[in-house]
Amino acid sequence: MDPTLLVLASLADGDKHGYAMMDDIAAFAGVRLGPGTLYGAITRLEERGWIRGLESDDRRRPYRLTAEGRRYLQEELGALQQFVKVGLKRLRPA
Amino acid sequence: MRWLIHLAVRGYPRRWRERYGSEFHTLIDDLPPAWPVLFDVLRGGVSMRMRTSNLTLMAASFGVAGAMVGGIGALAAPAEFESRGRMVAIPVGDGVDVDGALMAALDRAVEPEFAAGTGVRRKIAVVRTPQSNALQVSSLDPDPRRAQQVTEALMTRVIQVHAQESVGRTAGLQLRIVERPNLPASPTRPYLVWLIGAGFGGGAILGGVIGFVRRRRAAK
Repeated sequence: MDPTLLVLASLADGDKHGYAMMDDIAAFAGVRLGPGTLYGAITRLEERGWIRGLESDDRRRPYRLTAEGRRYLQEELGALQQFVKVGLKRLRPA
Repeated sequence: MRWLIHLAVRGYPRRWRERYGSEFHTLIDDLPPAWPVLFDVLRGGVSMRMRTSNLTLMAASFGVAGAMVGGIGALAAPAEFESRGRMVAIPVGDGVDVDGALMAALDRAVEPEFAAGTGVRRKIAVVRTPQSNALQVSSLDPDPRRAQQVTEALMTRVIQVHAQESVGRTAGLQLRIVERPNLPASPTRPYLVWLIGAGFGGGAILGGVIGFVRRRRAAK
C-alpha cells in the first residue's frame, strides 16, 4: 500500500510523531514502514500541504493532517471502498 | 550498526537534512539497529536525491557513474597486444585501379581467416591511409608474439595472393612491406575509451529519463 496513504490514515486519528506513526501503521495495516520510507512520505505530504509539522519541545516533531489532506484521504478511501466492494461482489459464488 | 545508519543519513540532500535531520536521527535512535533499517535509509537517501536534483545534475551523475562502470569493465577485461605493420602499393603501368586491385587482394587474403572463424577472434584490421597508397595492417591478441605472427602472415599472404592474380598482366600493383610488424611491449585497451564513452552516454540518458519520470510523478 502507498506509504503516503498510510501516513494520512494514521494522522486522521490524531497528531503523531514518526515513531508513533510507525507503530500505529503496523497495528492497523500490518505494515512496518522503514524510517526512510516514512520520511519520504512525510516529505511529499508536507510539500503538498496535506500534513504539517507542529512545534515541539523535544526532537520528536509531531505532524497534523490538514483540511486538504483529510479531503484527499476521503477521496482515496472512497475510491478504494468502491474497488473493494466490486471485487468482493465478483468473488461471491454465483 | 547504529552509527552506520546515522552515517547513511548524510546521503540525503543538505536542505532535506536541515529540515528533517534532527527528528530523523531521533527516530533512528528509537529503532533497534538492523540491516533492513540501514537499507531503507540508504534507499530513501537515493530517492530523495533523485527527487530534488535537477535533470542536468541527474544526467551528469548517472553519466559519471556509467563511465566509471564502463572504465572498470574495460580494465577488468583481459589485456590484448596490438602488432602493426605497414605496406605500400605502388601502381605499375597505366590505368591501374589501385582501390579495386587492393580490395581484391585483401578480400582473398583475409577470406580464409574469416571462413575458419579466426578472423574475428584475432581482430585483424587493414586500414588504408587516406591520400596515399599505404596500408596499415594490425591484429590484436592476448599473446604479443602471436599478434606479431598473425600480422606478418596476413601481410605476406596479401602479397602472395596479389602476385598469383597478377601473373601475365603488364599493368597492376606492386605491394611491398615498408614496416615489419612490431612485437608489442605493452598491452592496449582498445575498448577503454569506447566503454567509458558508452557508459557515460548510457548513464546520462538513463539519469535523464529517471529524473524526467520522477518529476512527472511528483507533479501529479
